[in-house]
Amino acid sequence: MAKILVVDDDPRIVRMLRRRLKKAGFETIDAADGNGGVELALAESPDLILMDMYMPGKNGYQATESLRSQGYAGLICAFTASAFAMDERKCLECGCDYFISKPPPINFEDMLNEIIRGGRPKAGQA
Amino acid sequence: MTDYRQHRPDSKARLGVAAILITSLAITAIVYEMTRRAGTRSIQQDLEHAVDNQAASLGRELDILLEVLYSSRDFFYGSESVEREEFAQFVGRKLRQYASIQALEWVPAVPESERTDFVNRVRASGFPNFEITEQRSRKMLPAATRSMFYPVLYIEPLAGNEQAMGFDLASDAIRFETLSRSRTSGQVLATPAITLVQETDHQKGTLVFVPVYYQDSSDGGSRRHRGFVVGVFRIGDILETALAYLPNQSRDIDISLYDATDATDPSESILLHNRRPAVDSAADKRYHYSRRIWVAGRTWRISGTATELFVATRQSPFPLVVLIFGCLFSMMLTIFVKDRIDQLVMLRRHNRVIVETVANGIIATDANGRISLLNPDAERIFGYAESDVRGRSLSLLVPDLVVNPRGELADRRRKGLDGDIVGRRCDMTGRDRKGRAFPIALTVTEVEVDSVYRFIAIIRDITEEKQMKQALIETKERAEESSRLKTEFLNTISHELRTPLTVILGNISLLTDTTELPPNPEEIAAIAQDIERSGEMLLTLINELLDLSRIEAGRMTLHREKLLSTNVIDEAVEVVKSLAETKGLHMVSNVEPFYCSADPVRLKQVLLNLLGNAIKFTESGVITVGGRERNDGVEFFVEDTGCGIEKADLKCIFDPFRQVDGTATRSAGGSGLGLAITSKLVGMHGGRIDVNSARGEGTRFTIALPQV
Repeated sequence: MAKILVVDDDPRIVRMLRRRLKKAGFETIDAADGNGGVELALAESPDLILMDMYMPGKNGYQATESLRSQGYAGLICAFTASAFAMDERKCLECGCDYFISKPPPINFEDMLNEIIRGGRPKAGQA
Repeated sequence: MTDYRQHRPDSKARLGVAAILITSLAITAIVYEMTRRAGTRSIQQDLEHAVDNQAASLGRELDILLEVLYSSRDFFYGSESVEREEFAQFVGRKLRQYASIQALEWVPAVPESERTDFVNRVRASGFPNFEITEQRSRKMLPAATRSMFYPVLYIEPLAGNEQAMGFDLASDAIRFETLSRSRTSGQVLATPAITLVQETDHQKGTLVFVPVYYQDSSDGGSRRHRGFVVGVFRIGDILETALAYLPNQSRDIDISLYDATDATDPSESILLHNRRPAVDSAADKRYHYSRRIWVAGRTWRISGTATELFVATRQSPFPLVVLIFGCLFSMMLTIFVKDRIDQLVMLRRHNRVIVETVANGIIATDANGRISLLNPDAERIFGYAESDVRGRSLSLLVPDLVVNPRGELADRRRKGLDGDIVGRRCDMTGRDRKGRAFPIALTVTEVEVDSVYRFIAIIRDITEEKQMKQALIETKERAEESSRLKTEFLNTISHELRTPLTVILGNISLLTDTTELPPNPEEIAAIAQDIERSGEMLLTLINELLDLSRIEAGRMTLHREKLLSTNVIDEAVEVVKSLAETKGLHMVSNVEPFYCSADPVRLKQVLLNLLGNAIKFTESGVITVGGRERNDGVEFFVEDTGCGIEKADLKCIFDPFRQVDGTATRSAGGSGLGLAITSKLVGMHGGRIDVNSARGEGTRFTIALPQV
């Protein structure tokens, strides 16, 4: 069973994701801010991190950069309500492998499965 | 507008041109005068030459005539007695030869004692009426008695001169005077000009006495006097004859002969004869010459006056040519020089105009960096007049500019003082008369004109430029900041809108599949609550965004009413009372009664926002709400004992979406727009909102509204 780490400061988002992911057969762990997210990621080595980018304190960008600079090689998928193209580029530049915007598409869980199966994309692919 | 037609160099130029003209004309005048005088002298010399020649000719003629007398005398010396016929024969030839001789006479000296014998002898010789006569009352009468008579014995030609025979020359004062002197001195003497007794025309004549003595020698003194050979000469004829030798030399000269013997000055000379010029031309009295000739004891003066023709034929056009040419040359030279000077002045004016009107400062220095020129704009920039700084160092105006040891203009601030500022635009600092430093843009050119102008600096005061640049930069930064804030705002709105939608849509999908519903009703209810809550939040957010938009667009209108403070506060408290109680907080109302003018809906909205925040951010304690009157208006306040706000965050809490960066924020709910709307609504009422807070020490919001 794949383990997904959800990092988001909005508890309702977290609850909603936990419900859906559990229904889709994922094991979920969560953190409410960037620091917690980094700790949990390093400790638990999830198959995928769903990272909210816009959080108070250490935001998603900083958390991702922090993980990557520490050599974390796991999948990080930015999961954010930002809608601008340059945000997607920013996410990928700071170390995210994928970018999904809120609200997620209907086949959200299938996408996640595919992502986990596919592993990290080669450099240059998005 | 500056009039560039007035300029100092002109007076010097005019002076120079005038000097050249005057000098040139003066030289012309001098040369003209010199040539003219030379011409005059030449004419004069010609005249003198001619007159001298005539005088010589006259002298020769007189010599010839005197020779006749001498030979006649010698005739008498040759024989003891000379008969009339002998005399006549001898002199006859001479008379025929010389028309100037009126008569030749033999005048013996006859003492009184021999008078009678003498007269009788002559009567006997064929002249029965002979008498020694003298002239009295114009008649020839027998002479009175005197000691010695000098009667004319022989006279040739006799014909026409009979009356003269017997005439006692001693009876006439002039003749007597002359003959006496002649007798005594033994000299040949001539009488002054006389009117000849026998003449009928108007020639002057003279009698020339040649004394004859009884012995051979003729040195006079104690020798016995025999008589005189007398020549009666027509002076006019003598002159005419003399002049006739060189006819061409004197035809254009008016010649006069004077007897100047007794004259103490020339005006006393007695005119003997005047020979008018042969040509019909008036006399030109400027050219006049006379010289003396001595004849028979008398001093005659022959003088010639040139005629206009004489002058004209000798007058060279040379002086006039010189004059005309000189004047022309002077004029041309002056015109040429003036033209050149005008051109130079014009050129200088052209350059000066450019230098003076250019809208940049120009400073020119010599090779040592000493100022040689300051144009008007530079004067304005630095506050000096050109004359104040001429000769001073350029460092006075631009302290960092010096001339380095290699003779280059260099920037003092640069290491090594290498002179590479020439040709490049530099930004430096200028210093004006008052010592004020200001930024300037400077371009220096090195020229090779002469030692006076070596470095030319074009200067622009860029103080304004710099200020404007700075203002532009600040505006740009502000615009960029504003743009960035707007982007952030949009980002935030987007985020705040999408987040509850995510919750709603994300949870909905859990309920759409009837085959895979959540197992228990609590789960379903929890899901539904999340959806409901998010929906409410979304609605609130949308409403507040709309409010904010309306306020920003100026589309919100206030409906002011006269409100009672206590009512306002009570209504607001009523709404939040239960929420506070739920949280375990005390609500305290501390409001004085007063009237204020406000929109009741909006005022309530403001108070609800503040109270809501107070409750949200206070975990325990008291929330106090109140109001009071001030001198300039009214005041409402909401105070809590909550977690407070960081000093650093205080100034931006009224910004949209700015929530304190604390822990209990998102979960506490709220859109982050509440305070933004509150502050704008207060502003629309003409009031202001202030916050007093510190971390951990609670917060107090105060609204001040102006008086009605």
